[in-house]
Amino acid sequence: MNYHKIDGQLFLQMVLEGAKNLNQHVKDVDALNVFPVPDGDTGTNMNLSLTSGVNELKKKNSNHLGKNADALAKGLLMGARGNSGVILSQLFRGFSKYVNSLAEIDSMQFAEALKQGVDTAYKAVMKPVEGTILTVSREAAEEGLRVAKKEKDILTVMEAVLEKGRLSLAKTPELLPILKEVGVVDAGGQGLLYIYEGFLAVLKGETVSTIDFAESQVKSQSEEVTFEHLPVQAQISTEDIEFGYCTEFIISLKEEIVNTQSFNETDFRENISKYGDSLLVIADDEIVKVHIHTEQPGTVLNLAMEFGSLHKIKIDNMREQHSHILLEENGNNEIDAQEVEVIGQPQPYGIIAVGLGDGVSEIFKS
Amino acid sequence: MNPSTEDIVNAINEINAEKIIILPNNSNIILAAEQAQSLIELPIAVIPSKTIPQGISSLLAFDPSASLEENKEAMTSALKNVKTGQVTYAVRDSKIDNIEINEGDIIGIADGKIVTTSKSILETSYDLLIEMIDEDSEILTVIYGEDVTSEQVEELENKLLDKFPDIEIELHNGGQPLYYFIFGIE
Repeated sequence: MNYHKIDGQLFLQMVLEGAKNLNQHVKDVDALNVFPVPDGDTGTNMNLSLTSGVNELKKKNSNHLGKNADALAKGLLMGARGNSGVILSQLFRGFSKYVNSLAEIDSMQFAEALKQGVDTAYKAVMKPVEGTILTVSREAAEEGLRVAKKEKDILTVMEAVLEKGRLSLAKTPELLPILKEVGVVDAGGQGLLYIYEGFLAVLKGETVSTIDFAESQVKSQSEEVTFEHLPVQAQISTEDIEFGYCTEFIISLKEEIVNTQSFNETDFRENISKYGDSLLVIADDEIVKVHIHTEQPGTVLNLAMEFGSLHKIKIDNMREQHSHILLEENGNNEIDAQEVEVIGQPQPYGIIAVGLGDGVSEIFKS
Repeated sequence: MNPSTEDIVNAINEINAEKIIILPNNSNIILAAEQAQSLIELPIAVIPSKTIPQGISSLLAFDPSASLEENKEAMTSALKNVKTGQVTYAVRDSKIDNIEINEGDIIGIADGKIVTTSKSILETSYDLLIEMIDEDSEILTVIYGEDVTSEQVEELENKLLDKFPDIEIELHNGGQPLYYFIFGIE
């Protein structure tokens, strides 16, 4: 297939395929972490970051490239986890700034947008380290610019970008001695190339991702652990709390639901999202963890009870009490979510300490 | 997995304070914290703490009557007051700094560097501390995780009391996953 333009729909296809390809290689990317420690999870972090971007993109999907890129960038920015996730979000933030007002772009604009992404990412990092995702993205984008000067076919440009990216990735151990010593290439750079591979596959016409297809992809991943985000809430207000009760509980699913695996996480989330915000739903085969800020905790609990018995119910009046909120909970034995804990310090100071484990939180509070 | 930028933004919004200090306590969370900082129009200081002991040490330098800039400086400089040791297991074979590591080995990490490995939690912990404690060390903070038993904690404590009679040992039940022990040495 020859593409001389990328519009919002082609961009959507490329991103969906990129996300799918990254999702399939999460473990491979995790295995590239330099230290063989159990919480080395670059792949997991990048995958969850991109998933957050994809969710936002699907919600706002249009034919306008600039709008789609903007939605992706916003979702990525808020969902960014880990250093590679943050850098990935900055790459697409720069990309989206460049294409912002453009309904579609040609090969040169595509290459320029990639390059602007790289410039933005470099600026976001205080001390850029070479031999990382930064180097891979930069060298790939520079090659894209070189090729785009004489090439109108976007497929050819993307091929050059990916090929140069692979060469650059292979050379990361020369730039970062620790990689060489351990015998790996940079994990973040590898994650980025999985996304680029997805881009290329769509341009080649090798695969067609429909929006439904992507839905099932996100679902299959949710068996591991999923954090879904509500639409990005950029507005910040500390005074008016619309939803006053921080409500958390665990549903132990009824046997017939477990046996038939009939719990639909997406429907459930949509259903209870009507009653508040800051919704977090984490489901596995047998239990569902729920966190929501709502004005009607009773209604939410009643709704949840249709699916099974409730445990560890905790309802805090946030108008009274701002001091202690657990934003994230570990929903899975394999991957341990880290908690962001707000620890009580009298105003005007607030201190946020990130930690793993209840006891660690206690130490910070004491 | 690490918290997202949005998680940190939410925490900042929940806390309802005029000035915010963030202790990421993990080198892989610092950037996300800085990204959250750039999204919010409040005075925020991100203290680049890479470990839990660094976070604790930094928090001790907090002065509620000082300005945000003063606190940032004092809390950042306090990061240097503590050495961090971590004990966990290897998820694959590797070789770092000439140390052969096999999957499942218990590894001891001193300030981000793997320095010792063995098949036993206690042996690695003990070796790690021998490596890290020197004559300037005064206080050892031991934060034990959810996967160690009270017998293991006691055994380690007794061994340490024998070996380092002059050091004050503080024990905390951290309940953290994956890391059997986290040590802070001041």
